[in-house]
Amino acid sequence: MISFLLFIFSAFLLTFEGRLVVLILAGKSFRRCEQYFLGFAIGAFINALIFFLLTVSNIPINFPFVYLLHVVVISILLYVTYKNKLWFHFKSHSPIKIFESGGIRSAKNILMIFIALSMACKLFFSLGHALFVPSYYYDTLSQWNMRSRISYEDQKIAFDLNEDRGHSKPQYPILIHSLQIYFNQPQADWNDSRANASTLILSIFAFSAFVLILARITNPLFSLVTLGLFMMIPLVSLHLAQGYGDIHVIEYLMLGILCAIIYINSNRDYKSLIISAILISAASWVKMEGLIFGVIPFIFVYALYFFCKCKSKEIKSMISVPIVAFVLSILWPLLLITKGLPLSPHPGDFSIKWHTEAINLMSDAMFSYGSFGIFWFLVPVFIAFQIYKLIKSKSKCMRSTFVLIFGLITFVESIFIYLLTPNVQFLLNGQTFHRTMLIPLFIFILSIVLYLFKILKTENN
Amino acid sequence: MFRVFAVFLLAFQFIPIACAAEQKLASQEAREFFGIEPEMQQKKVPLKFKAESIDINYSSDVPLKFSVAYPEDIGEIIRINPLDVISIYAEPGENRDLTIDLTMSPAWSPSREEYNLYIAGEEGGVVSLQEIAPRSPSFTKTISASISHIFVDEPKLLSSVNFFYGYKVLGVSFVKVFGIIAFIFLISKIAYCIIFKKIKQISRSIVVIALMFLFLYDARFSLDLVKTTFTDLSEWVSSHEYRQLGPLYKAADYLRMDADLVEKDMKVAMCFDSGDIVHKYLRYDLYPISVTHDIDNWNKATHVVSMATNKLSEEDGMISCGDTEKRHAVVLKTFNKDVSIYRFIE
Repeated sequence: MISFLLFIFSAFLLTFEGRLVVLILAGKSFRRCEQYFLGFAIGAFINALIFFLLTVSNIPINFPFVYLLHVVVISILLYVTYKNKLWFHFKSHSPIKIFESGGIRSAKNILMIFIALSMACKLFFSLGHALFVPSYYYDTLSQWNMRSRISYEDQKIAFDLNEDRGHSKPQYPILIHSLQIYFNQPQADWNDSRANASTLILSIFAFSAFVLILARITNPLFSLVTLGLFMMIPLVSLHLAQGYGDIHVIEYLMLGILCAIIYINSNRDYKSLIISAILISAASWVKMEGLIFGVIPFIFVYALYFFCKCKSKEIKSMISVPIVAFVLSILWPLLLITKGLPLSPHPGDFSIKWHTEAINLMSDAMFSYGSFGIFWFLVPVFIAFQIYKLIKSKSKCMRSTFVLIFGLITFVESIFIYLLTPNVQFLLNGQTFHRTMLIPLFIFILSIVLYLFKILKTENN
Repeated sequence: MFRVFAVFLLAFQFIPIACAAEQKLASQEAREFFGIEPEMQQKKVPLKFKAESIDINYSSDVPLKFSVAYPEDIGEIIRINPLDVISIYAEPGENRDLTIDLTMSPAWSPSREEYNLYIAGEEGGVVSLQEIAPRSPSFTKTISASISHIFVDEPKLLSSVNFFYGYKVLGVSFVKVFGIIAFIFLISKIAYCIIFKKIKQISRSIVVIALMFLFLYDARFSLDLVKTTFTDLSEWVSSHEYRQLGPLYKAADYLRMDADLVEKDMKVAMCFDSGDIVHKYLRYDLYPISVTHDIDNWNKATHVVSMATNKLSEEDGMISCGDTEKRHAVVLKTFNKDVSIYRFIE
């Protein structure tokens, strides 16, 4: 019981801390419930930055230091909040109606029931495996939970160059490791289920924030259907059972993109863009893929939007956003360079050569294997439809356009990495290609949903 | 009718084979603890005919294992997917009949003409195959097979976190077939709306079609997830074992308990044949207790975990693993399924 209460307290601390950040930076852009759910994601990032600070300062990463620093951060944030009277700084709450009148005869209600049933199956699988059975996969037992455990015991982040102690890939950023360590620190000893529960909470809170924010941008039906679609991707269910960082990269990217859309919707409240930049850069603290598939496309799409929509007098406030994203995401690579570690765990990643032998395998991975179900048969049709309508439309600078461009950039990056670099080996052996392709797939689905919402709303009117 | 008259003497090392009449598919057995693989020799018999099943008449004085693999010709390479292999254990006897249902594997199709039949048995066994008779594929059997193939679950492997193989029906990817059908429906609907100038209906129509197909596929996959969860949870709760790692978790618990009883720091050496995952798990679960599997650390170890291997030899209270030195040890605990813990006593 005490262990459970300590776990809840640790979660509350991060949530509260992150919520204060949202309050201060962009309180008026988010409802209170959204602030709390976003808060945990941002609190986890702050926790990673605290671990980074302790690592750089050679201070032991133990319970007193970590929790003390969190208390210090919260105290500063509370002071700022009360000084500027931001406590009630939130968007007013409008009730969310999930089911419509009409009962079981309403098509929308039937759709919601199917979505709920589908999600229940996925949640049953994810919760059951994250909490009640032991960690099981290779990478979990080497570069994720194993590294976290070693770092927990050492009271410093492990950067082993060999696998003698069991951990590999010292280049990996530490958001997930720091979260697992943080939750285990107040307890008597390391617990594997607790480590997985800590990242499970991140998934639950991140997707909850996603659903709430998207429900406001579109409507509850579209929002829940989108979440349902995400969870219908077969490989996602397995990753929601925790143990790998890929799903958390996606969670932060999705939240970052949604926060940017809030800016687009909200008549230029650019502070929500700061939140967006923080979340996108947090993705790069989970895995380096967050930098390549998150920060870089974000800065590019942001620049494009700026040229489309913004006035030159706004440049001073707008330039801070990509700077925030860039600076936050570059800290970890800089640390690696100072430690003499290569940025990538796979040497020779940068030689460019066309690998024709991979084309068939890539096609099989997307259209024959079961990782994505039938999504890659359907998504291109909708994307082509969206692009066709966009070309014919007078207004091209829609929010779904920018999400689509973001998705296309990540898609092209993925194809480039696996067809033209030595990373082709990870397509040939099936190790990472399927996981990487989840990123553009998620973004495409979001783009399609945003676009269809606009179209169907126009048709209804 | 295809007749094979072959009498051959098989030289094997002795390990008895457990006899079972039930036919099994490799992909469904892949989640189980591997155990010690009995060392056997096997003979391959290529088969070239179309069949839904094969009737075999054999004589043997040792138990046998019949396996059927489904070779795929990919350009210059013949590939066999081990997950598609079916196997059945057969009892010894004279002129015994056995039927192998080839349709059990999703790699089967009525047009397939090539199979590899493997017969494995113990050392010293005398085996003869009097007859191998195919039964031609029938329409009803093809239909029932295609339905049963859809319900063959995704194999539960360590690679599943990286990719899923996907469902296969009559040797063809179900994802590909179902996806193409969905794609055709979508394109047809768009074409219909354009031709009959129902442009405003396009968005709604294609959304409905896409959701319908996605839900249908998801229904199958969700069933798989629910079954997997029940199986995994019940195995863990009832026997504290999990998938391919079997009783390794119980071994870890026992070692942790014994660590408090030894005077010096525990160092565990592992002796195993299987993949590195067993070492990775034990090292994670017992950390910071040292767990190694190389010869160099054998002499410094205080304990040994022997897992599903023939490499461990035991004689007069001394054990060795492969080429390591012999050391005095006592067995602390033996779990079922070929896992034992020893403590060195010198």
